[in-house]
Amino acid sequence: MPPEAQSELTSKMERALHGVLLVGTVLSIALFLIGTCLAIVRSEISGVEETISLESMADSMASFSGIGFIIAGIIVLVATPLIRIIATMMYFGGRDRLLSLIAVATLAMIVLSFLIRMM
Amino acid sequence: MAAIEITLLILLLASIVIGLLGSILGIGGGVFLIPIMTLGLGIPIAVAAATSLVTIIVTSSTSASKYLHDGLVNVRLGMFLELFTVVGAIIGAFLVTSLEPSTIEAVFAIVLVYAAIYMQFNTEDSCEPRDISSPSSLKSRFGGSFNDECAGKRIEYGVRNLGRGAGASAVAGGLSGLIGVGGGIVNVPAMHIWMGVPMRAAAATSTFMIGVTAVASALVYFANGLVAPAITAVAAIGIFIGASIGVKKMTKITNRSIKVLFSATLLVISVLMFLRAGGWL
Repeated sequence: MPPEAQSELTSKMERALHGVLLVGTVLSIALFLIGTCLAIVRSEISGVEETISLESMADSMASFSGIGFIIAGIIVLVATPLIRIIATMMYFGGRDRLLSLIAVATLAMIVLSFLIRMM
Repeated sequence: MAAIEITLLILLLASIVIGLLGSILGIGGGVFLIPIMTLGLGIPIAVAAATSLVTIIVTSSTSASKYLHDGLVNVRLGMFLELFTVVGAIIGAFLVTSLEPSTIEAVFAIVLVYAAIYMQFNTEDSCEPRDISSPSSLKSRFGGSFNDECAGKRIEYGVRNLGRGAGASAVAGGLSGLIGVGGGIVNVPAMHIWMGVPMRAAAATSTFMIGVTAVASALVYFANGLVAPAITAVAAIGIFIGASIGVKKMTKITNRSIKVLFSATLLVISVLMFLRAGGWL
């Protein structure tokens, strides 16, 4: 691929990744703001260090509680870098096999480690 | 205002400052946030680490978004090194439930000492970056370029010592998983000193990487039920505000006295963490 085309492709990719990260972050912060306000108003927080299990997360989100909105925000935030990896995989696709494989391996390791811990 | 609200307000204000510093230094801010939560607010270190990891994702995503737009991030190099940080992060996160909290606190204290030293040497005090790329590395696969507004020209660089950089990234990831930091305090000097990446590009690329590193660790912490929603949300909001302000500057802290002050603060905190690890606090 000519250097000019390579440079143009890289710029497109950078702009796309910029968008992915920006949208994911802003959305998660909005959910955090809503959730925190609701949780304080409804006195859902009994202790700042109070933790929540994976099983309870689903119940909290289903009830649209303040904590539920916060959990949704965490999920969106955690998903953002993962979506970024997928976006780079799509861009490198057939153009750079090595980097595509690296992206796939990175994503696979993250998902597998979570599933292993769940079991 | 109830005690809970006051605690959350203190955390919010501290997080804003940490987000500002983190985005400028190319680090996630965990080295500052975790001691505030453990020593200041009495939060268990594993919970503090889980919270820190989420905020690191915020710092990374907020700052990297801007740096990508400005063309500072070396995406290829970042993706390559991410592979190794993720391996280290997963191992570190699995270890955290097997180790005593005092052991983790002692490790963190040692990292703080390193961070204090790092802050003294991680910045360039002039606009003109040192010529650190050897001619033979200029055409390497992972080389990059960026418009340096400070120097007023386009900087091209190559990358060397990929193996050493990969090893450093694995260590950075291990620290991330074990104590809840982003790993930038290892990534940035490794890229700059060993791999020949100019400081601004190294900081931007590190910021790009640490989000994925933090996710790898965070998911393991979440599976262990270590998420505290209230402090996570408040810290994340504060970090977002601070990082959003910090990226508009993207200049390093050049005032020598400020750098010395922050290093001294980190050293004091490390002493307190050692005392806590030893059960004297």
